[in-house]
Amino acid sequence: MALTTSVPLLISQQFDSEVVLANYQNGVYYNLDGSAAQVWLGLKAGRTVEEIAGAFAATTGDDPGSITSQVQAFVDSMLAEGLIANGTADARSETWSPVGPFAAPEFQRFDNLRELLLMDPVHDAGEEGWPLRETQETYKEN
Amino acid sequence: MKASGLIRQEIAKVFAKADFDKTMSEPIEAQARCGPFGLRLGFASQDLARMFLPAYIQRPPDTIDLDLRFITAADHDLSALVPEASEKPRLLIEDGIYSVWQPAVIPVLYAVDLIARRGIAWLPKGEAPPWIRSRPAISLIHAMMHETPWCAVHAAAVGSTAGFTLLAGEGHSGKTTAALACAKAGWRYAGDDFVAVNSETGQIEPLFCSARLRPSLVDTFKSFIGETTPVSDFNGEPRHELSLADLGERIGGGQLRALFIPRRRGAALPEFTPARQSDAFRALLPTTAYELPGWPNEIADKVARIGGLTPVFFADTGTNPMDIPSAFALQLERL
Repeated sequence: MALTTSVPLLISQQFDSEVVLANYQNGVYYNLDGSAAQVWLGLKAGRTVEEIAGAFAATTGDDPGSITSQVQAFVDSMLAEGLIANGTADARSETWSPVGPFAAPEFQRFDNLRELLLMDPVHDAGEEGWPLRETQETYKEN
Repeated sequence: MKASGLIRQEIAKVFAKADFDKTMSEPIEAQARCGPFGLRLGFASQDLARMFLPAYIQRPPDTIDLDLRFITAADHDLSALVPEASEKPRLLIEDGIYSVWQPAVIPVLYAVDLIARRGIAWLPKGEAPPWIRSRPAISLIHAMMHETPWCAVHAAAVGSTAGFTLLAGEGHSGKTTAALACAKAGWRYAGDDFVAVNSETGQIEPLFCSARLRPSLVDTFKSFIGETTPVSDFNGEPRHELSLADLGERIGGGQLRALFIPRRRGAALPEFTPARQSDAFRALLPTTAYELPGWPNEIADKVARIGGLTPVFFADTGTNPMDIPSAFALQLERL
């Protein structure tokens, strides 16, 4: 199945070669730098794991098999954390290519915001909107 | 009728003159500046005015951008607007209506008709959580900033002749200590909790003239803050909710020159370490986004832009708060 970086309640921002992801559902932040950021940006550009690994191998001359297995392991860990999801692949951008040398990709995880999230009185207000109550339905009929 | 239609209808009723006169025995009106906006404030009673007015910067604005009324269940029965499953917080953004239901221990309903530019803060129990008194109806100000370059950010901001610094960080990082130390030293003060920042130009404007002070800091700032209010306690976070209205014209804004991320790493004197735009983003976004419901992607974009407007530094604020102003001034002048 294709992978997408469009995940509900996940905010992403790119700063030069760094990507910050913030999960609004559980208050966890992630920092992706170096190859980790490049893999995420590759997925965002609509590339498959094989295409990303192949692009890295072409630019670095490293062993494609080794890169593929490391990229796959990283993608699996991002899936497990909910940083990407199975679904329709992101729109393909023809201009993407990896920047910098390849190193085993990994993310930094910051969960010190969980407490803050629990403290906040309105953090889970959201997509469900404002369901009408029965009394309001009655109001409508009158 | 859609929920937004019902809310719009009830807001209009609150503002109907005849209804206002009939139900509110002692309405209080005031004008205030709140970030880039001018507010006309209406309080249904002296009690409500005493509760919220001290936090507002009471200066006549050039224009009125929002008419805002504070009312209780005794003034208007708005229980029909409370959403289903009322124990849950809820957010509605629909057809020009923005509304937040905060159940908590002391419930509050905020709603604004962004087309009519009229808002309400409804307090079903006649009282408000103390931390809301220091930043009343800030979620409605956030709604007014939608599709503008302005953003209400969780940060303190103070300014010297060299420009303003935004102090961003989690609780206990030392934002209030640094901001009050600078204000005590004669700096301009734009806030210690939430301030308005233009994400395109870097202009900073105060939203409120309040401060949220830990009891342990009262002695440090006693001569400056005057009388303290009773301590509020929100989830084990005791605070004095203060009004700094006596600072007068020193409550104000200016141009952002640097973003400092206060942290305590044991330095005796204040020290600065260069930080990245992403550090500023991480320092600003969490509380900003969590406390201002709605449009999280837009908030993240604005916060990212703000983090990239100026140099960013980690600031170890040292052991003596009174050393902070001169160190901050020196750092700002170097830029």
